[in-house]
Amino acid sequence: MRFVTLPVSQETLLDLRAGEQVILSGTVAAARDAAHSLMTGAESVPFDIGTIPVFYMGPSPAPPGHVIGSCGPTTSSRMEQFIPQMLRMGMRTVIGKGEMSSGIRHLFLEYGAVYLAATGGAGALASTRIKSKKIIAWEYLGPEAVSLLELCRLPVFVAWDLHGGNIFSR
Amino acid sequence: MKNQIRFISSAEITRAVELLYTRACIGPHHIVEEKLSQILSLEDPGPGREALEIEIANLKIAAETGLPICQDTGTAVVFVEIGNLVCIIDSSLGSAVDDGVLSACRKAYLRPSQVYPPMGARENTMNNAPAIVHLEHVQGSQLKIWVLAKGAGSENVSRTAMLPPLAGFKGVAEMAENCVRDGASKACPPVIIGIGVGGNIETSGILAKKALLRDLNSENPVPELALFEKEITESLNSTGIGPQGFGGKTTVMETRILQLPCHLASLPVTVCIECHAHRTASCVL
Repeated sequence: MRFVTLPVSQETLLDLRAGEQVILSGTVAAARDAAHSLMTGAESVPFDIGTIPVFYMGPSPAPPGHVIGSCGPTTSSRMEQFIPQMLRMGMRTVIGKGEMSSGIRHLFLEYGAVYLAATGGAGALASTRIKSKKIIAWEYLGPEAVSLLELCRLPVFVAWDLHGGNIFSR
Repeated sequence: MKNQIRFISSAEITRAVELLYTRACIGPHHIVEEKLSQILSLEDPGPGREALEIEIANLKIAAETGLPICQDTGTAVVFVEIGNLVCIIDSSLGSAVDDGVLSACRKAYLRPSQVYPPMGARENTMNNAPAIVHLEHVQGSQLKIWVLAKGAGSENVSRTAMLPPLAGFKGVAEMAENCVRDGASKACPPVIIGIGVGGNIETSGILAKKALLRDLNSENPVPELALFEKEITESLNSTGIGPQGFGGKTTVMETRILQLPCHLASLPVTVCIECHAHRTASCVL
């Protein structure tokens, strides 16, 4: 188990190995299907894509007294159609869930990007690990709006590392 | 008194659906927790085991905090068994159920996840209605309701196919295996597999969903199917996909099968994948 604070250095990224658990703190940007369609289409990316990891997530509404509702990862493979362009625009870290295609895995290797898998379904636990949430774009999308989140010790797993390691390989 | 009509108000149904949908999404789900803990005790050290620990901790946190187990609080799938002596007054069953879903969504801060129209604008309806209601008519004066909060992660990797009529057990097992190999890591495993065999294209889907409602740890009353379910579970657990797809001994918690007669030239099959949280609740009115 390793503790990592964002933004992550290139040295730390290189050090990560598929299968290890990483306890992540710092700023990430939550974005999913509808936001990706905008960011890779007519609109620009509303955060620093080079340093801020993209978290594939659309939360449930925050009950009174909570920063955010339930907020686990959504299925990464649905974002595959947007990933080539996101990588070209500088994306280097993704947090999602589930396996993606080998074509996308090779693109991640080519661009030096890391895929982190959070625990799918563990949205209540994730909610307790988020200290702040600020919507920064497309509020009308409801749960699909883009927001910046301040993580405090969110457990994730290195799914694809920079050396070809793959947590999903069997 | 025999054959006496029993009146049930739509408000009573609305209240029941509100409570059941909330309970399904938040818990507590002690039996699921116990089942996952049993699975945990069999897993070797590694990321699959660690993810399973997080899944179990999450179920406890949800029940303690009142936060939904998962942000995808799903489509509300509602099975209703209605006795022939029941008469629903004030409003229709459909609108009573939808009102319950809407109310749960608002009061329990569930995520509105329904969009319309499905092609094109896909605007969020912001109320999570309509629910998907399956109605079965039975004898008696009771109304039984099951609510299943079905997320898209597991639903998206489920499949329906019209197999060759003689594909048999082998064909169904192969279909389940392909479904799990291709999609299980996206469906938050260890998963439950519901298989509906027979009927036609729409009934196989409903059967597969209904199969998911069977109690955990229960046995299929048809011995041949009970054996087949165990074979499928064991065979798929040898894939090593494991919890969250991170590797491990348990990819599939349980397999459940329901069957109906079908046309001599058909073999309709639906394999419905359900995530580890198995968010269901039921009651009798």
